[in-house]
Amino acid sequence: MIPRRMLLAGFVLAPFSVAAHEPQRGPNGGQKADIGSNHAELVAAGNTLRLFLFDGADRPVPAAGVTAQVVVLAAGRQTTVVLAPTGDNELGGTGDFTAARGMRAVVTLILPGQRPAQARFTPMDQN
Amino acid sequence: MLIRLLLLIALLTVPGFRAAFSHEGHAHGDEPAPPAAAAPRAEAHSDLFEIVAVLGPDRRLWLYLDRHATAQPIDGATVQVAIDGVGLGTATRVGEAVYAVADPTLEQPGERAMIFTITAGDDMDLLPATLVIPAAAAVAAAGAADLGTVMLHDPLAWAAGLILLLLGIAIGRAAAPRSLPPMIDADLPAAGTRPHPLTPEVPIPGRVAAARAALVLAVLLLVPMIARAQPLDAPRRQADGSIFVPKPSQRFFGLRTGSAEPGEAAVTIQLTGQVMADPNASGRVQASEAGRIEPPDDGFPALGQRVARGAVLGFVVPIMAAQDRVGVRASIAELDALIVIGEARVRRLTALSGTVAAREISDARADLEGLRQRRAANLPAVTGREPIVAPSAGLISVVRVAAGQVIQAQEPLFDIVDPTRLWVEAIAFDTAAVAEVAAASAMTAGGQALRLGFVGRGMTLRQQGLPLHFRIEGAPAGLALGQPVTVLLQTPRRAAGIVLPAEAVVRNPEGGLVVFEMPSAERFVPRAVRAQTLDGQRVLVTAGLERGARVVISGAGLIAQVR
Repeated sequence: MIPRRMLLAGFVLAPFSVAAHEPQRGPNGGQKADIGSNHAELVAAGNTLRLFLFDGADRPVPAAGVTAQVVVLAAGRQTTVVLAPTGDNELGGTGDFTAARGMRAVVTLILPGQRPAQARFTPMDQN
Repeated sequence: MLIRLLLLIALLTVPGFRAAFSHEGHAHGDEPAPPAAAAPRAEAHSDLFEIVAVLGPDRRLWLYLDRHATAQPIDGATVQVAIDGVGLGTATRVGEAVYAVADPTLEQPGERAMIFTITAGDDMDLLPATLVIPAAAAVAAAGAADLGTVMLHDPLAWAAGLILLLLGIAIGRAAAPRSLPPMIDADLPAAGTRPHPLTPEVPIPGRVAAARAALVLAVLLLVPMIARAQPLDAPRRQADGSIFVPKPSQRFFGLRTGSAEPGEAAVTIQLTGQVMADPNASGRVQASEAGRIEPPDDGFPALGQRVARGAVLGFVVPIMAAQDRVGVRASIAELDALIVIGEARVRRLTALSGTVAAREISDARADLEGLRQRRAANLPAVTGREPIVAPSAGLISVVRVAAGQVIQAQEPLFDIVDPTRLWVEAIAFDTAAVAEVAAASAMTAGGQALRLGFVGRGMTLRQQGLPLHFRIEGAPAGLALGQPVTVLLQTPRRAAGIVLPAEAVVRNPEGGLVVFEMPSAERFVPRAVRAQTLDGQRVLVTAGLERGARVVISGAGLIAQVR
């Protein structure tokens, strides 16, 4: 039932996402992307990263028991940031980087009892 | 529920619904899988790079790195690979824009989350991809290295195939043509002896040796290919009509892509035409009178030889009928006699210059001069020859003479053409359509593009068509007079569409025009388009393509041939 609903959601969303390759903005001002069968929003500021989790229908997903690792490429340097749950559907962490335009991040998300899922973000490149 | 169903149907008909599925990182199972027989593979792209990771039969991970927008291979890049969060270091370069990395985790079945850190010049990017490694047996079959495994997999089909093959060979042997017995024996044997037996088919020893050598050579060539163990998946057409072309084949095809950006271009009209000589830079050499032709001192000019204006190409020795010649000779003889008399008269009168009037002496001199001139004018008719000179500079394009040939007056002997000054004559049947010419170009049957300048249009129909003349600007070598060309006339009217190189539009087996869209790294979708030719190199696609689509602009013809 869930995949079918998702399919419907996809069809409903289809005409609105005219520019298919442009990143979507999330409710917390970050960039939202698909990660596995869920959606995630990454907010980068200074040297902190915050990740908000949503399901396929954009309802918050509890962050308890979720682990995430972010590979950050900023200003030509690559670092790895480990995120830990900090809120309801939020994970956070800090690392040795400075968020700037051109920054790339690959989030590897492990939901409890699921395979790791990956997504690529360019959190500073929108707007 | 009904409303939802209607909504679904309505959305399915929205032409843009496909694009929404291909946005970044979307893994909801909308991308069709590569063929089951292909090696395990994963792909990822950003706006800069596109990377395809293929698990080779040697259990190494082969990485193919290209520019995303143009599909141009990137050589000399640094690709760092991390699998499940563990860095494997930098992949080694194994070929042009091909990198490989080995790791024990690649030998175990399961799903591997990979992150590629790519540095190419000033560009850096991170790309995630997920590789699903099937159980080991499946990989071996996919690698197609072990024929025995494949045979064991489906013994019945293989046995049937073998029987069919043997049957085919048997039929082929039975149907092979045999040499017939000769109709007549060269030397008939004595009556009663049996006729000669047919010579048996003995294999020629040289051929047997050659076949063995070829076999050995083929094996020797194949061994390094197998040993190199690059994942060699064949390009193939898939059930949904899309075409799977693995990266090595794409490199082989020299494939390049471009973005379908809307634009506008002038409406063009196609005409047929042919190359002709510029009347001001060509010439035809004709004899002005009948005669025998003689070569100049350095021989007749050869075909293709460059001649200067005024150069002597040959001589015409006039020929005359016997009685004409007799008449001329007779009048010369008569003139000779008159000249002798005239000379004597002048001498006598000058000796008497004191007593004879000066007027008489000058009259006699004038008479003598007139007789000499008449003789001089008559003489070439029997002894002289007329030089044939080149009316313009250029190359000799036609030679119709041989030494000693007798020619008629006005017979064309040579054609001279300046190869840098050629024209094209086109015939337009719709006279209103060519009323305004903004620009023109032409294309030869071989695909060579020519720039044309409009010279003029006739006012009289010739065989229902209106002739138009164009000047070829910067005429390339290799054009010939009379060569048919397709002339493309640009009119001042403009049409909107997507401008693509002519190579991007190919014909599918059904004869329709298609452009190949490249929605993912190794998948090509034929899109039926409506296109019109703009000039020799570009086409205008007016329908069938979405803006921003990544389309193949080079190598499309080779993709179209994949079965």
